[in-house]
Amino acid sequence: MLEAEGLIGRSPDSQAYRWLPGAPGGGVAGSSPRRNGLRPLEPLRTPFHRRTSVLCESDSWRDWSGYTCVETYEPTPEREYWAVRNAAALIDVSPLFKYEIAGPDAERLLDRVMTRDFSKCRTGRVMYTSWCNEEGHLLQDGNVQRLAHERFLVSAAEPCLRWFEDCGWSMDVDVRDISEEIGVLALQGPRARAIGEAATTGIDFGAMRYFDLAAGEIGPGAGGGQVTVTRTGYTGDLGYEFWVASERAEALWDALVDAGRDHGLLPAGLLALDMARTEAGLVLIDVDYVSAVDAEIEVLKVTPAEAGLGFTVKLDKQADFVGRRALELERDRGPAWAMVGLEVDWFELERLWSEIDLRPQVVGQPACREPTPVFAPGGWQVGQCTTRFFSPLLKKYLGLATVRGEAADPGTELDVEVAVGYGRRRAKARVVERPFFNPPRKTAVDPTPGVNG
Amino acid sequence: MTAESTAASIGSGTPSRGGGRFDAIVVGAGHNGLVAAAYLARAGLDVVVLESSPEIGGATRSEEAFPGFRFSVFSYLVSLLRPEVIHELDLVRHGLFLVPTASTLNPLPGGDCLFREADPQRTYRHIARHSRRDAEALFEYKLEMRRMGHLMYRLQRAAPDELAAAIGDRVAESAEHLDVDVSAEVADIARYFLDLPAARLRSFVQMLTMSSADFLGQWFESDVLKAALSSSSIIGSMLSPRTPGSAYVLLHHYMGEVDGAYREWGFQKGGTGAVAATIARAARSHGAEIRTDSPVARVLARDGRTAGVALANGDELRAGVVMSSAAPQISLGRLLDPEDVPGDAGAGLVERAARWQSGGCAGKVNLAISGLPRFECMPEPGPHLSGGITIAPGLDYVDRAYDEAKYGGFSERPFIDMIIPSVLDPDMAPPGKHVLSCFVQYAPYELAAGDWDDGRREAFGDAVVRTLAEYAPGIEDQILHRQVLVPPDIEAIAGIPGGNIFHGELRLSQLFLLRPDPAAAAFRTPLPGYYLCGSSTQFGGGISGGPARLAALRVLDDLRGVESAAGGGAETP
Amino acid sequence: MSDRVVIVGGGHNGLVAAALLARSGRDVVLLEARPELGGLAATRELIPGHRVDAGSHDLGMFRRSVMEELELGGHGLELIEAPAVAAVPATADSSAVVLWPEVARTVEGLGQVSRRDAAAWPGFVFELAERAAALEPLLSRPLELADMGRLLIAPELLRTLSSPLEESLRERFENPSLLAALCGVALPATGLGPRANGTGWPLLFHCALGGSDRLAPVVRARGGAGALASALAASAAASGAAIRTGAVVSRILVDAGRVAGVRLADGERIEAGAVISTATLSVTFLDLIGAPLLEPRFVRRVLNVKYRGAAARLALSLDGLPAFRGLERPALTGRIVLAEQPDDIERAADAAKYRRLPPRPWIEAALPTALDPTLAPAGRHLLLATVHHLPFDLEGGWATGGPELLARVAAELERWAPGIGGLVREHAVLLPTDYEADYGATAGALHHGEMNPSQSLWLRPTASAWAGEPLPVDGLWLGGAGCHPGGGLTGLPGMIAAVSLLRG
Repeated sequence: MLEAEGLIGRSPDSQAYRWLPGAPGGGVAGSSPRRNGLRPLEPLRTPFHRRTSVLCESDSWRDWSGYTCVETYEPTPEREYWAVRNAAALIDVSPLFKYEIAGPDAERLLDRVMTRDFSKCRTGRVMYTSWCNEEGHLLQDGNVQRLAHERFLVSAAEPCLRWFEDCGWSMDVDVRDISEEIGVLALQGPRARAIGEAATTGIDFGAMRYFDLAAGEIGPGAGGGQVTVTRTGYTGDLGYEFWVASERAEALWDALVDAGRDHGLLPAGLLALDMARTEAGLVLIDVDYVSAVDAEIEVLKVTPAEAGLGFTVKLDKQADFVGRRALELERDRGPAWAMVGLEVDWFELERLWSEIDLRPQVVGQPACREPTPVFAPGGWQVGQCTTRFFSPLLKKYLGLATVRGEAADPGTELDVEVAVGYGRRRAKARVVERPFFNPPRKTAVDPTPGVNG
Repeated sequence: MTAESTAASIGSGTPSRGGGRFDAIVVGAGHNGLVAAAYLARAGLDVVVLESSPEIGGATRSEEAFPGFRFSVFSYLVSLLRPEVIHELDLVRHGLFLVPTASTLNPLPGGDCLFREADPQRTYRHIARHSRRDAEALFEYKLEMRRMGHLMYRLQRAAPDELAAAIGDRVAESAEHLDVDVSAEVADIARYFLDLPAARLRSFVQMLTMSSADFLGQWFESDVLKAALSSSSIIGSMLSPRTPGSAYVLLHHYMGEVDGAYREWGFQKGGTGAVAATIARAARSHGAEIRTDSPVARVLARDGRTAGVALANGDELRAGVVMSSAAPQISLGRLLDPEDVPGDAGAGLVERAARWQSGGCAGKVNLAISGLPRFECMPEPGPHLSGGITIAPGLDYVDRAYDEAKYGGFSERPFIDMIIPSVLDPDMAPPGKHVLSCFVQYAPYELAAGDWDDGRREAFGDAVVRTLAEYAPGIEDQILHRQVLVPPDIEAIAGIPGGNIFHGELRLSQLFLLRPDPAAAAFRTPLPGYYLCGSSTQFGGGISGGPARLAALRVLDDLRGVESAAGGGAETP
Repeated sequence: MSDRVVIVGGGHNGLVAAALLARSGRDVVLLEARPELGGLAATRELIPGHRVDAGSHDLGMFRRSVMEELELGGHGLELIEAPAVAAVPATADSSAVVLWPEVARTVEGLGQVSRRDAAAWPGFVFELAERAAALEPLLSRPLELADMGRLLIAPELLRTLSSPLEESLRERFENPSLLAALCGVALPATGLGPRANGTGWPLLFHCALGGSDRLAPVVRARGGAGALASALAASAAASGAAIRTGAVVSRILVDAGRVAGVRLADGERIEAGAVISTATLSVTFLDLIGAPLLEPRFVRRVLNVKYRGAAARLALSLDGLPAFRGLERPALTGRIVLAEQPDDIERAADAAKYRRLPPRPWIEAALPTALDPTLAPAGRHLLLATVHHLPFDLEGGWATGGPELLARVAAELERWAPGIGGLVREHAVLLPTDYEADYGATAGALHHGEMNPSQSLWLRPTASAWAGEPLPVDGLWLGGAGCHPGGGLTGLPGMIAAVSLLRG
């Protein structure tokens, strides 16, 4: 009956989707034939999709904000991970939401919304910041680029147009969602500078400090087109992010891939990115903390300090930002929770696994995001471990955990629940400093590739 | 074999013992009457259900109106069915089979649409085409409504008088007029309620008083999304999204869930009649007897207590407990003689029953069609056809439809909430053919000009088809059969006075202690032994079974009290 | 920190607050933007030689204890109670009905149109008075959530309050003119038709504040409503309050979450430890304080306050008393409701939903000169026609809508009082846009926000809290009609603000 009714295997009527929005910035329209005529929305494609899809041998994809993104290009993420740490990797992070904030009150709005002090953010700089609701509960974290005195670009994991608009009610500022108009590539790894220099013109990479931004052209030989480069990333390594108009996205990709050919550049998927960001101790929204707008119950809400982002809260800044009063109170009494690094004792792991006659089956696995309880030695639960994985570089089993303030001091001995085969066991772990891995090249002035860089 | 005939063939109840003597009699075999009977029988009582019409189900009814085409005659989706009822009566074993409807499509003029899918990311994108702000706000709105739904879910576990007494204990200097023992559970619920954050309590009070358009306006700007979301605020109610109080109807529909999954709607395989059959099976499995074609004329009383019922044919059945699932105009206005009520507790009962507002507002148009409809916005078959499809393209559109009915006409361009049951359950129509179930507003019970039987019913059907054709061109040529039902039909077939699907408007003046009467808001009527258990009691409306369950538990509590009193209070905990 | 209390707005609520605070020895400065006091209860010479009330002019709900405490009689206030409460003239299709304060007199008149209604009237008045009396204590103090709990478990009061007014009335009455008269008393400034849920509330409100012995009596001040403002101002001044007119407040100054004073449009800064604002919520928070100083969720709440049901007023100077059919002169002294049946009001509300002018505007008329001839030159009469339930956001705008509305009002008046057009000598008009521009009445809403249950009682802000949450600025108090219990000449919002402030 399904076939008779055309539920299966009928080609779509071109009239069917005529209200579909145009294909801003390419990549969307006409690239792939529809599998069936059922869906009123095409799967979202990033502007690099035609490039990434031919390279994705594993056919392993993941949904990110509605976009189809490569999880790993190869069947396992290991080579992609090592490219980040050893050469360079190219990661498509276009699904980030991007907002342009422009107008005479642009700085005022950002200072109203953000916990960081934007009166101190000069043109040409990027600031990593948190933003909170009225109760000081964390909404999101993200980067803000100051493109001009009255023009900023905010990138965020989740939509926040309404929040920015409402915070700026009556201000002389325009907030525009430009998410679809811009493609973003992260070029991360020790060779990133060399590749970036070869793939662009007009940018002095040597002069770019950590969290600087610069504008230049794609090229040479790639047909030109403007590109903005920020010395930022989500890997804890030397790296740059390239922001480009969607219609020039493929040219940028091609230029970077050409330039990277002699530097061991690999395209990397989200699994490799996740491993790198965990090593760098960077928290991830929806994994390591829950945004206050998504938290159904109060106990899930956290302040920036509780999410390990206390360094982004500037209570000494002049502007009265949303959540300030609550965060001042928190400063006085201390945060209830803390985001900590956990290092699970390797011999302990070996001991637990040997009980079932196996070596620890944690090596070569992507990061695990299923939260597990963390216990004080006395046995009561003091928090949860939200990300954990075996670092191939550091040879350690590491985790990011949210624990009660009193259990947060480095060196504190805790127990964390780990999977050992089908069993669930408690393994001894120690609170350690984040980041787990922090090479000097990440922030070095005029960085040069090198083993110790 | 149809679901109902299956139901009829298995265990047709135990024969009545003692020549028309029962422990309890339930009036009406709609889903609530059947739930009440099942709970009483499950507790070991000898129960008979008396149904006036030839079939059980009341408004929860399926029929093969045309050969090969099965219709859910009136109610068409299940969501409010209480999990306690499903689990305690083991309804899945007795045939409950709910297929979720995962999406909602709102076709719009000009081939546009608003589509909401199970996947939040996709829904975000659909709404973002109309308003990015709203797409974002939907997350926040849903979270708030989930919390409100959870609150309502908890409140529903409490009988209204107990809840009022528990709240009264907390807020009033004296609540002694409410002479009620409050259980620990209800005290807990009252505490939970009163200790909610101010913002949530504000939402609750707003939902009792606000229009849904205003309530939704606190989150959304786009007319199409507000109209789409406000659909749940007008279903079954002579209200427009701009009428104060419609926000409560919205909340009522947000109490729904399937399997604990918030706000899911499900379609019962075989049509909603199979839900009634399922509950009937459960009731019979515990020994309840169900008699159809047995209209009850009145409740009998002796010495100020319930003694049984008299049937229309003059037969008398004896029982110390009678529960009526009928609307108050019948239960309190017709079946009960106020003279029988001890003291002056019966005063005003009949007058108050007469002022109960249960005028119908909706019609049902069931169509048998030769193939799937082709909506201009999404002509090809797809998942949208197995979800709800609602014609409510804007707030003004719905308001105009309402205004027409307010003054006694039917809506020429109506609000339509439809599903295609045959996509969800291939047994509903012959292969390749389909049934379309259209719930249509507004159709008043009484027309200002003309009569429903005077050609107006078909004119109404024409208006519905004409409206559908605006969004699914060609549908008029696909129609094989058409069944048009208007409020007087609902009254005649389901026995609901006025034809209101909730047995009475869901609005503050008819809720809580006012549902359906201050003297009978706790399922007990002023006549000892006579109880109410229908949709017109607390939290009634929709296929929930919740009121009947609470009513039956109240009966069992009272019987236990009588027993222990008879035992000289020998029973100690 | 200054001990001074600055009161923003010299309407009757601001003046009540000023007088009460000054009497308690506080240093009070009241600032009114307009040249005259009274706000929406001012009397102006809109027509030369005529004393025209700009907005409210019925003192029937004004708290008597406040009048006495402030010795308003001694400060020149003279009250005149109208012999009639409300009247509906006859038309070709409907009969005239007059409601009098005296039950027997009303019954006698009703007997002419419906024996059933006449018989039902005393019981109705009694029951309404009983429920109004139960409600009354809730209207003169800030409400708590517990009060809402009490309402929820008081079935009959809750039912009357939350039902559609027409439906409740039809349980007793049948005559369309009588139904229209009662709806006409209740529904001004609600934006709602009588079929809407919750329209029982405004009738109860009028009855609760009008005194339990009579049904919503009409009381006027000799010389116009402005006389109330003058008396209040005199009382306040006598106690030492400074009252300044022509003082436009442009900003309420906030320092570290606390009010510091106000700044005037001319740049003058007045320090204060407390500010009572009687402006609308929208003006107070969005214009005077400013959204950037407030939490976004609070700004959203303010933006979601509804101001529907705008009003317009047409003042006519007439050569003689108009001939409203079926009404004798005493009947013309109260509210004159121009609706044949409740649906006339319902249809006016319908039109506003779609941002249109109603084909037949719903007019509440008054002939103040029938009670107080001094308001107009000898031989002239003043007719005030208030058009309710207008859409502020009229499709096409008020520039063209205004003249169109006037034409429709003229036609409607002619229908009710044939020949009235020939009596008109001069006229003046206040459109919703004028109310907003001249009086800061956001969206032209005379009651500073719809008076329906979703914006009343616990849900309406009061003094220093709003639905269970404190106001976001310390030292800021609200005392205007946008506060509990609501609009109309009650003096209560101002009184509650003053009393709350004194209690700290």
